[in-house]
Amino acid sequence: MPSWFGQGSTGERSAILLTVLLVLSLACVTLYAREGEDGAIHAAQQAASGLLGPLKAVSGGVSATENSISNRLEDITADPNSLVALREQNQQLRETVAELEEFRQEAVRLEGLLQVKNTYNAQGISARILSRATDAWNRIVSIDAGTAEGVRAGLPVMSTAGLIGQVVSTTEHTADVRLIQDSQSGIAVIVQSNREEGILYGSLEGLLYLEDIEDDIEIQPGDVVLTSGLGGGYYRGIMVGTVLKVEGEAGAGSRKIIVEPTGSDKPYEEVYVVTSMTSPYEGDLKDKNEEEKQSMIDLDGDGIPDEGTGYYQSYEDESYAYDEGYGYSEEEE
Amino acid sequence: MNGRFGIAVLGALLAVVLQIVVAPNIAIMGTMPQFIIVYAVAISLVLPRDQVYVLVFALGMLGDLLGYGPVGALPFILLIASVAIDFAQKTFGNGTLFVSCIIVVAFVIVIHFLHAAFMIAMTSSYSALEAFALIAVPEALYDSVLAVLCYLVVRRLLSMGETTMASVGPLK
Repeated sequence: MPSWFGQGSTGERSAILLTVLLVLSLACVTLYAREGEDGAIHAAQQAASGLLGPLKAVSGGVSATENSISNRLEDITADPNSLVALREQNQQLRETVAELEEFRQEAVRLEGLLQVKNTYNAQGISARILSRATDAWNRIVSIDAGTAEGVRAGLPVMSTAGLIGQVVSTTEHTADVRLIQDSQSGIAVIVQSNREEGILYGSLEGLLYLEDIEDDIEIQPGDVVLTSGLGGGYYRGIMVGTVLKVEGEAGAGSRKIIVEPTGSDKPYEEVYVVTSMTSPYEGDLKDKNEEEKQSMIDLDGDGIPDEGTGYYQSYEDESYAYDEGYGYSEEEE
Repeated sequence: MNGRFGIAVLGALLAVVLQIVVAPNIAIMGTMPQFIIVYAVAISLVLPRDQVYVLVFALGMLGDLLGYGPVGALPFILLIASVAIDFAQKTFGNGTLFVSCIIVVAFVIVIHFLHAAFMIAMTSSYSALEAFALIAVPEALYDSVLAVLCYLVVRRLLSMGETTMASVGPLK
């Protein structure tokens, strides 16, 4: 043993204690890496998370108080110039609201054309955010609903703006939700404008990167990104975000597509754990298949409409199976 | 349990509570303080070895159980660091506050870098550059300031505990 442990029984005792604790630590790391999600160490981690639920609630309370104090301080320190500025801003906002109403009505008409519904017929459990992760490595939030309320691992979680993450673990009355910005998060998505499928990855810096998109596909800032439902895990058609920036040209191998998550500009306190939903695309697919059959033309004159002559032939190739809790998955042949 | 160790244990519990309740709310641009690391470094300079080992192991375990990373990594790193801190104190320490503070800052940085290396090795989703640039370096800087402050407080408190115990005198 090194000399700095000292001489005699005290030094030996320190060395033995240190060795035992080091071995114990390494044994835990090894076991953690080798066991599955249901292993003893993972279970202990989940149990600790559940036990510390009340403390996490205090953390959420501290956060809310902090926001409230910050707002009050801003109000107190507002000078007459700020009030004039706020009145002007209010007027501008009124004009913007009127303008947006026009856009909304136009959007409703366009939605009718595109047959994309703007609401999710979703069922689930509403919950409040208790706390955020205590380290910077993970973007995970704890919510105040667990297995007792019907929450289970794998369910998608939404805020009013759209998808925010997925339940990764549960206790009786709490659950941990991995946010889509987490670097370990990956979602199968579809770009609404060109139906191109890709994978949306989180990162340590909190940005979302759209990858696995064909190099020659044109992607523009502002393109809407929705869950594709492929691979299970998420229901199809949930709004995830919009393309914020495209670094590099189409065709360049090193193109980077950065997606801004929906509602990233405002913190959310309440979330919705989706247990089942009717995808905005489910109805469309059925309708299109019906129309397709009606629009087929009898080319060879045998009295039977011929395959491949309908308006929506491309949808014929897509077949999805719906599995409650796991969204859509590609139907096995 | 003597007075100093009792105070140190209370401080450890406070560090854990601060980590859960306060740390997520005082993050600066996503950089969150790690009170557990801060406190572990501070007590490594002022407590006897055996007590330090037990306390930093317990703190590290709690830290890992609170988070979502590999359990056992933090206690392992803190134990190694506490041995190295003891060695550094004996080698370079000349009783001045300045040298002790330098040791505190140096080891906070070392611990964060080792922890980042562990996380990169254990999880494939972190790139080394991102992990160091976005997490390890900012957290090390944040925690260095906190660790120096914590060391000064712990040193003061434990010296008070020592005085109190000495004034009681041995039982006869």
